[in-house]
Amino acid sequence: MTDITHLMEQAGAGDGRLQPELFDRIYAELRQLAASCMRRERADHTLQPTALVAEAYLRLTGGRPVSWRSNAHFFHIAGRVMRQILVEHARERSALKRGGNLHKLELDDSMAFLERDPARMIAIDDALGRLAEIDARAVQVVELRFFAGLTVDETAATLAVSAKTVKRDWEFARVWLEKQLRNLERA
Amino acid sequence: MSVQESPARWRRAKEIFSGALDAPPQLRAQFIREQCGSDADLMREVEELLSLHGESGLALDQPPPIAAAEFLDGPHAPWSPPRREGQVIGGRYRLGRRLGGGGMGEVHEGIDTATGQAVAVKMIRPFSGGSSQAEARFLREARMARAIDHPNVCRVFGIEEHDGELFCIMELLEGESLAARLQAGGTMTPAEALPVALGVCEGLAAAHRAGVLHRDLKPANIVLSRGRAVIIDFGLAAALSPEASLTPAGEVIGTLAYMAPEQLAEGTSSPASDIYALGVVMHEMLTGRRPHSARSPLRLAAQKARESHRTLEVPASAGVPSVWREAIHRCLRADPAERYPNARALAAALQRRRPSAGFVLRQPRVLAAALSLTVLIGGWTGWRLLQRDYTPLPAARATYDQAQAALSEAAPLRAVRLLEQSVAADPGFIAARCLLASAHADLDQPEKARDAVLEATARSDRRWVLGAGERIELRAARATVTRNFREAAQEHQALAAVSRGPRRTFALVSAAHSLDQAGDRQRALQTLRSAVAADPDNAAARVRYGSRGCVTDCCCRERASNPLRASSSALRRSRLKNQGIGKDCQICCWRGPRRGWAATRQTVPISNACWR
Repeated sequence: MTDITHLMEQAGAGDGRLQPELFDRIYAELRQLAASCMRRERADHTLQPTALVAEAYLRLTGGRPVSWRSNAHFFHIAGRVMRQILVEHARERSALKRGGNLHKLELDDSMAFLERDPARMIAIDDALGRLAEIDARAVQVVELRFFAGLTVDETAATLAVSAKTVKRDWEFARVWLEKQLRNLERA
Repeated sequence: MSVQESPARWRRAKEIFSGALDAPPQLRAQFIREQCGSDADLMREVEELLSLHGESGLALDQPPPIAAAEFLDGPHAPWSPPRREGQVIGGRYRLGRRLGGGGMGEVHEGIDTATGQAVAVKMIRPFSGGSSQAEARFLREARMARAIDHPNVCRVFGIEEHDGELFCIMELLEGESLAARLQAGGTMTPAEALPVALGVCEGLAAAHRAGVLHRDLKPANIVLSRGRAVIIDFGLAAALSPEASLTPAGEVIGTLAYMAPEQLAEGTSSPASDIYALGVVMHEMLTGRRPHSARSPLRLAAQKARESHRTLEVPASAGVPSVWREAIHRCLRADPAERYPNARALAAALQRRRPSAGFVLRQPRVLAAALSLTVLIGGWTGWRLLQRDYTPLPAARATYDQAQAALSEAAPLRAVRLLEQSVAADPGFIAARCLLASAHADLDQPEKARDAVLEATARSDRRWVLGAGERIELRAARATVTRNFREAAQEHQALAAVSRGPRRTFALVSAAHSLDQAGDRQRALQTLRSAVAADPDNAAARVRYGSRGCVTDCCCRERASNPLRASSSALRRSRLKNQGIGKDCQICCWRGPRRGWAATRQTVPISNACWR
């Protein structure tokens, strides 16, 4: 438990780049949490990413207060990780729907959760990929708010920008992304 | 043409979009026209986006659901609820209908085929990660829980293993949980809540006497059965994997809300954390809500972390009598040592004052106060015994004492060397690690200081109960390392308040040091004076007192034109007149008041020499 806080502190003190080791740890934690949770739950159960991220946070830090820089680092990565997990799974699901490798999925029951509409998740991911080239911060805002479930204020603290900036980024990204999805549906 | 094709165009569209949202609705169209000028594409784009803005149910409005449905129902379902009815567990208990599934596992009705007695059988979810340590701990606790025989605690008849799963055989209780009662009926009157609170107190007291902590006391774990409150799942919480709490956000909060700050912050539990949980339950019974308002687990954790150094106020709401308010207030104290020393004391507080609500008499109230003080003192001794500080190996203790003296004489380097020997001799000596952190901090070695605190924290995690003193020392060290000197000073003062002898003197000296670092020289000096007053024979405090006196003195003498000469003459004077404390230390003038601590370090050996 302690070394992750340590990693977070280190990452927080550095130049702000995502540390691969930290990313791997958070990735493994979130994935394992989601999977083990889903294994135990009823079929109609839906888990909110917010709860998942919060739980991962508490488990990794042991609930101990850590500096805001480390916190920022954690959420930064958690948002990215949640996006990756959801999209990876959506891609697997959509492969399955097209008659893909059933066997593989059966073996990998750690991914026993899925979103109802994999195509939509993939489309969101693709659009975010395009957005990253023109407005990287807006992508971060979407990752933190949508995938990690942070509020405007928490997102602002994480990115060290004002709440107003986050609001603007979010509002614009929200409609822009919607438009991309609708264009795709029409096409 | 779409805005995403060029960053510049995207930025422009975003600017206009945000500006239009900020503008009053009637001026919006005009604003867009002005901004877009002749760029019809841009205008169309912005208008389209603005019209989407008003809609709800956009892709990003709903959090991405992670659902199990399709998958679990399908032919490849990795998990399906097994049919258990009719199974015989441990060759003795036949399972009947399923009663429900709690946070920990599903519960079935059962029959003890040996006696015909009806029982409840709880299936404990398998341990994830297969931690045999956790499992062993669970079995140990569950066996201890079997020893509790009390009407307010659900009896545990046994733990059985069947097909790799663990089953807990318990007393079958009829009735509803307190959680269900609160959900259905809202708040309770004090008269309704009193028997519940008293019953839980009795149950907790019995369990604590048997050495079992609950660790997860909450309304869902209190069953109201035929007029008595029965605590269920004793000792089960500790054993279960942390994932047991991983459920929808509401339930995560549900569990966290009752956890004491030290459980959240340090992962340590004690009887006092169960009392904290009961305080939350009492609050909820009377007001219908929990003392913390946070709706997300993260914010709740943050609230509790912030609150760990101050006390939560219970609002003076109309329906809560002062007896209850005071009791809840005391249960919810951030510092476990300030809560009721045991569940009995809480019960006494709730009961004793009940009649005084009707007819107020001065004398009995004084008597009650005196009585409760007696209970308090008795309880306090018990509490101290219960969470006694760690006893280090003698060699580690000796070097630790020397290190304290070294630090008091402002020789942190020597202290570091001694403390390193101390923790090498006894790695579990948390107090020494905390002191090591402070010494490193004194030497401006933040990384080493942090490492020492992290190591101390990690080791404290592995201990079941942390001593009250150790807990404070850990907090003080954390505060020092993060340069929260005021907080560190408070912690040292708290430690002084619960310590005696040299330990108290050293705590006061440390508090003064922290205050000095926080820039509060006046209080630093005051604190040092009280250390000297308390323990005049302790030379360490005198040295500091002397040197501090000079640091403060220096502040007033900033005008000294030649500090070096001023100080050396002061030194000479003090030597000649043998004035000792206070004056001799004027030598630190030559370093200037701004670097008080560094100056003190330089000064002390000299001042030492001159008054001995």
